Amino acid sequence: MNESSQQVIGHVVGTEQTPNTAYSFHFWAEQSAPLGIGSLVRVEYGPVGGPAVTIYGVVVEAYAYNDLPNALTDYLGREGVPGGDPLTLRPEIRVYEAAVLRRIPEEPVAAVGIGKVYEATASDVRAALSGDKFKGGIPIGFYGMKGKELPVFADPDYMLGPEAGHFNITGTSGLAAKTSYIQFLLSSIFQHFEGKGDQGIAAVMFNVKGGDLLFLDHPWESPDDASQRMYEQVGIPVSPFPNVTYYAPYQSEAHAGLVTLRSHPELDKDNPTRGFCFGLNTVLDNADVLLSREDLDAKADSFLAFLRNEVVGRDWAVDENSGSLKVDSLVQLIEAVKQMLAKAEENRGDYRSHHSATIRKMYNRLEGFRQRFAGLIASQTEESPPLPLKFEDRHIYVIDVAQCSADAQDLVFAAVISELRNRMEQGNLGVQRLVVVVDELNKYAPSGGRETHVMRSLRDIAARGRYLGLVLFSAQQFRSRVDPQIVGNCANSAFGNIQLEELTHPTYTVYPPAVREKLATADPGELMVRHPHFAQPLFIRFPLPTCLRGTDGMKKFPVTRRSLEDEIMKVAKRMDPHIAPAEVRDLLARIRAEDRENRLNRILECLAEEERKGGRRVKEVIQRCGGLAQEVTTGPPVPVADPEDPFA
Amino acid sequence: MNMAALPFRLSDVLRDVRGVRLVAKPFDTAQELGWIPREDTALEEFVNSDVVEEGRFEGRDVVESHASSFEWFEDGTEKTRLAFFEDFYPGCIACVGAAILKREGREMLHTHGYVDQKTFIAAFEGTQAASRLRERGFDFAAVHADLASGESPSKAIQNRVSVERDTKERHIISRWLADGNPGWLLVDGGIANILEGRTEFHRIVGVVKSHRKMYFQEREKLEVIQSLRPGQRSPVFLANPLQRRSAYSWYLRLRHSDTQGPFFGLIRVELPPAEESLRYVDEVSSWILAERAPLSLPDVRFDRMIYPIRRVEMYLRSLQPSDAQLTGMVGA
Repeated sequence: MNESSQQVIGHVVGTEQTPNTAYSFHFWAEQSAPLGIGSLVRVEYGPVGGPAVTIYGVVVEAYAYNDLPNALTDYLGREGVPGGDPLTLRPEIRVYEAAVLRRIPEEPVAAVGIGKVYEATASDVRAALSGDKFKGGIPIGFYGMKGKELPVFADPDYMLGPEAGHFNITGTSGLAAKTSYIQFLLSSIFQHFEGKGDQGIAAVMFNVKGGDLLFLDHPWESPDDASQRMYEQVGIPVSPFPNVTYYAPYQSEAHAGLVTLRSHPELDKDNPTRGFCFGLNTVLDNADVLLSREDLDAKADSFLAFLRNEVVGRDWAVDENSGSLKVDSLVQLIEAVKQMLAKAEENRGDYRSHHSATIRKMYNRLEGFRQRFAGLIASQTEESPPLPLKFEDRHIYVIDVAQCSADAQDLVFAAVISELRNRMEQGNLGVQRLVVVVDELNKYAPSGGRETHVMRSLRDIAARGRYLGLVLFSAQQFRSRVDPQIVGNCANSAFGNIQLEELTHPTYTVYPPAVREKLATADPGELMVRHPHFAQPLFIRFPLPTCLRGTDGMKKFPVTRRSLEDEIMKVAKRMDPHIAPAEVRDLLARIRAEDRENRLNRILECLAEEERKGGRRVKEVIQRCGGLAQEVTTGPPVPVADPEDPFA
Repeated sequence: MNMAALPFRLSDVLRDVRGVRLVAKPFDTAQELGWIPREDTALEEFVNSDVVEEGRFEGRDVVESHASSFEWFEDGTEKTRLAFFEDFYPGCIACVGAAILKREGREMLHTHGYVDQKTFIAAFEGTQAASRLRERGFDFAAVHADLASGESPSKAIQNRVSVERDTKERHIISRWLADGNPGWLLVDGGIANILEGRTEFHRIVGVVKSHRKMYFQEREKLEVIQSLRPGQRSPVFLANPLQRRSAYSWYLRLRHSDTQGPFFGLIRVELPPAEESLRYVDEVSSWILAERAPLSLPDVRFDRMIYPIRRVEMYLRSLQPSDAQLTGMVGA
């Protein structure tokens, strides 16, 4: 590479029709020169009587032509017959337009002079991208042709704060642009970020699709040579993330199963997925996510505020003559609203100035939450959020919402972002930097959309997070449809393969046509990045992630669904460690086939309620809810030996 | 513009010469003397030549082979700009050059050193400007003209510049011959001037595109020539038999057009006046026919100019000073 740096590959040209400016220049190069859109070049010249000038440029347009004045000439010259080679070839030229990345000396900012053009070397790449201006660079990709990749570094202060921060990635889904790149970035950051311990860095990610992020702690099974070579170049071990915690919502109030594809026994053995659910306060704080625009009018908003401020968390009574009710759970709140509704209907339609129609609507919605988000919202149990009390250094926290409904995903997302924002404000993240990865940003912060709680939180994180240690790594398919305040605050951007329709948006008109066309045809693993130190966007390549891909993981660890009977067995054993599994199985076997599933679900719910009360009457609950004849039992259950019981 | 790169500034030299008016910018392109090459169709004379091939004087079909043994191609260029007047005598800055490009494979990029070019001033002998230029040691071409006999001053200058160009071409071809290069050389224009009386055989072919002189007077022969079809040639004749500069020559039709004159696509080919040359007449003709593609458009002489010659011309033009540079040489 160093040898080729001395090899002149072209020459700068400036004509009256296409003069060079301070920011762009033209040059021709040999046909064999390894140049294309995004290539870096070095230009050297010495103005008469002035110092030597070095210009670093990136190719933004390429032209090729010969001396034909028009197509008709070629047609005539070939006598109308295509094919055949004339004795003399017309001279063919490759002309390139390049944008100036950097000039040395930096002043005066004069037009690029006529000079020799060299292929960029590793040191040229570093200099062109201002690598000499910062220390502790974080590799964000590799520049150059396949097999000759050179690392590209970003300034951590401008990527993770405090000078600037955040990373926004745009790319067509399924073309290894977004998730894979974020995984590579996290590997790189974890390896190269200098802070350790409570000055370290952690990441929170949402798994929104299949098993994408469910196997981050499992090794990549067939690493390709090119990726390995790239990892070796920047000293990143080709190994999975060692510290990953997975969260998934509970399947039911009974906390028996989880709504996740990560349910293989082997995974549960090594690193079990943790269940989570939200409590009443979280639901009310994020009610705007759960309610439709039509639902959340001024009257409903006012009623919700009333519930938040005067009902929830208190000993509340519908009037002075009624007994008080402790409102700490969704079920209790529903009961309270039911009483308000009854009172309102008694009282000519109003309760504390809230109309009965509004109360009824909210009653219906709250009741609906309980049905729609069973498991995710704890209607009676306590909240168990999907975040640790304190984030740990070099740790990834994956919140799996892929199997949830869209509404449930929104709730999880809003609740987590709000919590992170609160912790950010309070300064108790536990690490110096926390990266929160948000995919489908256009869904949570659409441009021109209603200002929701989520959007406000994201805007706040984007605007102030870099000072406070919360860094947003966001991704979306359509950048043009994302709130401009959020993307505007992302100092770093990456663009993978982008659909042509998206590229027609004015957001992209700042890029030359050739760059846009390259974006439309970018291969998997190829990106254009912007960083505050790069004067021009740069095309880079990045290696495949070092961990097991989602699809491979799903093949290796297929989903093992527990049957309802297994769930009941699990809960029963938890409630009463001495219970005989055979006895429970016998009882379950007696439940009639018709309506069996409903009865089993009902048993699970009732067992959960019994457990909450501290009861251990498993068999009674099964008999009652399973529609079985009640057996008369006296005294505490007696353990019966079961040779098949693995817990015995 | 980097003024230091200019070889001279006439204004510095001639500003104080009495009667000299510098022409800062030519009034129109017509004042750019000699800008358009003179390969036109204005016939000036008809001469008689001896036919050296046996048989009837009629068009002869050339067997087309689609192959060519030409490896080297030579051309010369000139560019002239009106620079000043002394009284009514014009003076010019001219650039002449000659080059040979070698075709390697199918590419034509290298001269192998066969290139020569110079920029100079042409001024009428006897003028004060000429004296000043001589005094200051300028590369200066003196123009001799008998204006009293009606000779045009601009034509006199053009002729003088052309002499300089011919000299360059002669020198460069002499060098090529002296180097003993293998392969055939195709020269744009006649070779009789270049050979200067040498009668031995050389692998050198001249292609003449302009027809100011017709080499036959008899109507029948002229009819045969004008009715040549594409791919046909005339019998070989000895051009300029009474002069020292003679060559074997024949007419060859490259292209035909019903809507153009008789000279459309008609060239005259020259070979050294050695007996051996006669063996190559058909072969050379087929090689030239094979060179018809690619077309030399947008050159106006595309019907007669073979493409490699256009390439040499393009190369030489790329070396010529630009109009802005020529204006800079005149000075303010």
